[in-house]
Amino acid sequence: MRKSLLWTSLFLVLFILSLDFWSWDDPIVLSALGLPGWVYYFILLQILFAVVFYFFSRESWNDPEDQGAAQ
Amino acid sequence: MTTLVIIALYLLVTLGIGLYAYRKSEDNPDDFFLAGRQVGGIVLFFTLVATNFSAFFFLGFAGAGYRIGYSYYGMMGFGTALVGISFYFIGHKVWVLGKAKGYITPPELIGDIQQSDALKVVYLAVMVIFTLPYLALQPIGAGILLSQLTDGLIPQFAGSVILSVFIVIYVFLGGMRSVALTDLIQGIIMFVLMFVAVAVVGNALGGIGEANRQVMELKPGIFSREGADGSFTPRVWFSYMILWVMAVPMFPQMFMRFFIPASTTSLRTSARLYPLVTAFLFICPIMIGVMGHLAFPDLVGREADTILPRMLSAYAPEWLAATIMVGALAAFMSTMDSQLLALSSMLTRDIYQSFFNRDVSIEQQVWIGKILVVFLSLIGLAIAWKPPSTIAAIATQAFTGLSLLFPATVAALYWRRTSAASCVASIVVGEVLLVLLYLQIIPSGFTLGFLPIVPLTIICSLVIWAGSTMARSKVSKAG
Repeated sequence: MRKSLLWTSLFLVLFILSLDFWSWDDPIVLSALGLPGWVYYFILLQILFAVVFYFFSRESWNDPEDQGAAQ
Repeated sequence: MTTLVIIALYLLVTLGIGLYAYRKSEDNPDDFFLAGRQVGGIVLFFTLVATNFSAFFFLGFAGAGYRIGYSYYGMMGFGTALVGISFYFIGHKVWVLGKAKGYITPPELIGDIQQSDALKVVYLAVMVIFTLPYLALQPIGAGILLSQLTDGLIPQFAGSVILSVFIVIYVFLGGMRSVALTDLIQGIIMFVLMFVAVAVVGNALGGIGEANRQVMELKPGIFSREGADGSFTPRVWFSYMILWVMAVPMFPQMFMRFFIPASTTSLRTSARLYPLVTAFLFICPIMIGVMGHLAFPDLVGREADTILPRMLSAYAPEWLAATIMVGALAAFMSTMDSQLLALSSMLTRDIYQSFFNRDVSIEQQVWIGKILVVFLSLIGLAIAWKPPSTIAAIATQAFTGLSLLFPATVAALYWRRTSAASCVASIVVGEVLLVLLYLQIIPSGFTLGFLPIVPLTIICSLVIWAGSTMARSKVSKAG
């Protein structure tokens, strides 16, 4: 129960970070490849999501047959 | 000539895969519609990607990059990355139930776990109504692309016919096994060629960084968060962030893929890789669209969707441009073949078997499925010949229309107290409200600035909760 709360919170935080309305009016600064800085923010956010999802699935997404064998 | 040879080569490869799949196939519905539920991780990943990313990914993303700018990447990228969560909550459960009880179609599963034919029929109706027009749009788009690629040598409708014939042959021969294997090839082609396209165009414009800086001077709105055309407000952005996670698994061709993994590992691997694909692949067509302002600054409306082929014609050698655009053809075909198979399986199992012939043999089911593949593609071509205006209208509402199945699906899979009647009511109420909103009988102010998906999902969920609670209290009183 405590772990599912942890994972839910982590996914929720990432979702809220994708709603970055606080930075919408910031001046646009171009970074590498001439892309605006916030594009890299979203690339990073997706990588972070992939990492969190990887650990979540490693712990919580098991083969039902494996679970059955363990029981 | 070079272009024709490349296209012919590609089509022959898809036929070869169809023949290979045919030799491996067995004469039963599990094998024809679901590749025997034995699809491994890598093939599953590519078939999910190729099916989900239609030609809209090639042409529409570049067009949106041109019209809206980089903001489109943030919305589509992260929104689609979240779909991995649906693969776990919907996909895994569906796979477990499908394996245990032999389900083949989504309505069959939902109707059976709720023990309701009414729910099955309503679920089926929504899936067919929103998928058929989308299926019909594929040969239209593919025909236009083939005609453009060959400089009009192949007329648009002839292009639609040629591609439909190839698709029908390989689906007819090998069913899901053909579709999944061609998706593997088509997916790899899409991936590689999209990166090549960005590199070629960027290089021709003096480097991607330099090209972006020039566009920034010309049209700074392209780099803004609201988008050059003001597409995004915070409420619209929020709406999109929750739309894809609900819409993508409700497309029948995607839902059916949850039945086909050989193991949990296959689906889990695909879900893990999905956000990485969106992070790195989605930016490519959008970059090309943005850089398009340097070469074609005055495109308006639908013309923007032709920016990718225009840029390739302008900056890539003929053979490379043709090869890259074969990637767009692959995207069209990989979506259309999956839609054909999904619709054919649902009409075979959920209509013919359920209501006309319960004793149909497994061999007959395969044959009926195959005949329906041909029949449905003919319908697609008939529509492509003279498309009614309603087709495009229904297709544009497909994402929201299918998303409205999501609350009922989650409730049916996870909430023991769910009543079938409340799921039916939720779907009917949601779809009716969507139509009324589309026809502007309900004023747009009803959505409070969000996309319709936000208020309608809340309403659908409330209908399920209230309906199920009332049904339960009635049962308690009766007891």
